[in-house]
Amino acid sequence: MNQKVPDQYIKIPHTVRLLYRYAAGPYMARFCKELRENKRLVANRCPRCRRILFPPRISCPDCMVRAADEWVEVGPGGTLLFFAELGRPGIDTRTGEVQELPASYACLIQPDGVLIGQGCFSHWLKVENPEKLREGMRVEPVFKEERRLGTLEDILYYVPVEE
Amino acid sequence: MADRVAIVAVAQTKYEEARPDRRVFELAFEVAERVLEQTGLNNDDLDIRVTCSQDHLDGMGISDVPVSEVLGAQYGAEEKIASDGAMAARYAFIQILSGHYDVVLVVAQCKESKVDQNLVANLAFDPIYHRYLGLDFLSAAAMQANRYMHQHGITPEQCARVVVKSLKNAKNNPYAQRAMDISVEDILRSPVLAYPIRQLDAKPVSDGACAMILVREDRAKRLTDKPVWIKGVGSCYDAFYLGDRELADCDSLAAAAKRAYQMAGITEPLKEIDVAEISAEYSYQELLWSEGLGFCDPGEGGRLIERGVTGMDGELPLNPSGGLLSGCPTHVAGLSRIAEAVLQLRGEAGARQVPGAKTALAHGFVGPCGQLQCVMILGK
Repeated sequence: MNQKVPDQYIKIPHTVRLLYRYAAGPYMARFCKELRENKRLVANRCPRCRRILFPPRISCPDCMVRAADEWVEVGPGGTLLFFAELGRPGIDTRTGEVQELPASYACLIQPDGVLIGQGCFSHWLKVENPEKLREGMRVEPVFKEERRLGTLEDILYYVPVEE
Repeated sequence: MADRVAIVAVAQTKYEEARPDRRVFELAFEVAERVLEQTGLNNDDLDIRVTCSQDHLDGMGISDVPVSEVLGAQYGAEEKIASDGAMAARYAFIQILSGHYDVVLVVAQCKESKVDQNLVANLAFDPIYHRYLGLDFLSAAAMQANRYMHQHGITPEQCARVVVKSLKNAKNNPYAQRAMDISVEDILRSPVLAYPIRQLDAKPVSDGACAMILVREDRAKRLTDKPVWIKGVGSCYDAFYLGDRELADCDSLAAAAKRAYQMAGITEPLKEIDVAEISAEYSYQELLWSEGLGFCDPGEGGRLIERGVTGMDGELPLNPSGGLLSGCPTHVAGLSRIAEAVLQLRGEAGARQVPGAKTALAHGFVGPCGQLQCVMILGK
């Protein structure tokens, strides 16, 4: 080819707007309902190895058997496993827009009743006294009092419980 | 070939217009659970899982991740085929022949109701040359139908007969989404989607899943008294650009069929095959694919159905299940065709059983106008 190879991109704007409908299914639906209506976190259990399945789901990932119809409450309070200060604004991944974060720390929580490696989750952490933060301390959730949707966003953030 | 490969269990969900009650990977678990029950196998017995799905349809990047969790792949192995389900089964077949694995679980799952199919299909086309034209699989199929019908004198009535046959057969299939007695006139009166394809010429939007277990020969006897053997497989790609193909023919399907027939030792497909389950998303495709599969000469697809050759009482019953026109999601389609062929060979096809079926053909494809074709021959 004798022609000069282009050194710029060809720009063809192509905006795809795909609206997805994600089903909750029976297990997530129960989780969402308990959270929205009762401010409770619920899990189910494997009938074979007895492990807690949190978030609740159709089957045990270790045993590949259908979960038992046996529901237990976990958390919502728990143990702080890890925390990190957030150094830049967050992006709301549903819109791509910059969002104001509900708290200045992110954390990993081991909810009461759950073993490490079997259903710990991350959330926001609102911190008044950063110098008192330490791994292993107790954390409690602060729930939205109104217009709960049944997602983990119904928990506004966690707060450390200072001894 | 050093070893033979058997299919020892199959399961399908009922296909439905929408499943708001289940997450897509829950559908995958439900069919996988049933093939484990049928064989008495458990998670530890599976050497690997092959799954089949497509990210844009699932609305997730690398969308097999939640599926592998429910299929026991945690601390195990899973590979995804983002293609038709028949290609997933073909891949499992090759894995076993390679000697690496003895027992493979294959699962395809899809909820077409999740997102607009035409918008997703547009992403399959070249972003600079073709997408702006608004091409999707429906408009591409309409171009192929026009070209095929013009070139060979195929009539809309002949295409409509495919729908009449399919939806009538589907009345005998408990997994079918759409089944009815309907007339050629009803079909020709239904609204045009993209000329000459009318609403009833096209497969409906569908949700569902299909699973099967493939094993090496020496494992088969302990798992079932009715193993179904994979006798031959062939696959072939056609050109990416539609303009590089003669759309009135289906050369890639003919090549895929030739490979499968050679491996299975089939020289006269119409005579030697007892039942065929093929993937036709639009009515004209059953006629065109029949030509590619060598059931008749090129251009003779219309007369093939008129003569009743492919009816339930004909020489080669084609789609006793009702096929895709009776409802089955893309990606699941080819695997479901294989599952139906297995049921036929096991004598477990109920009211849609072809008596005494010994050799069956299953077919799947993916891409616009049947770009990638896969043919599998199965036997008792």
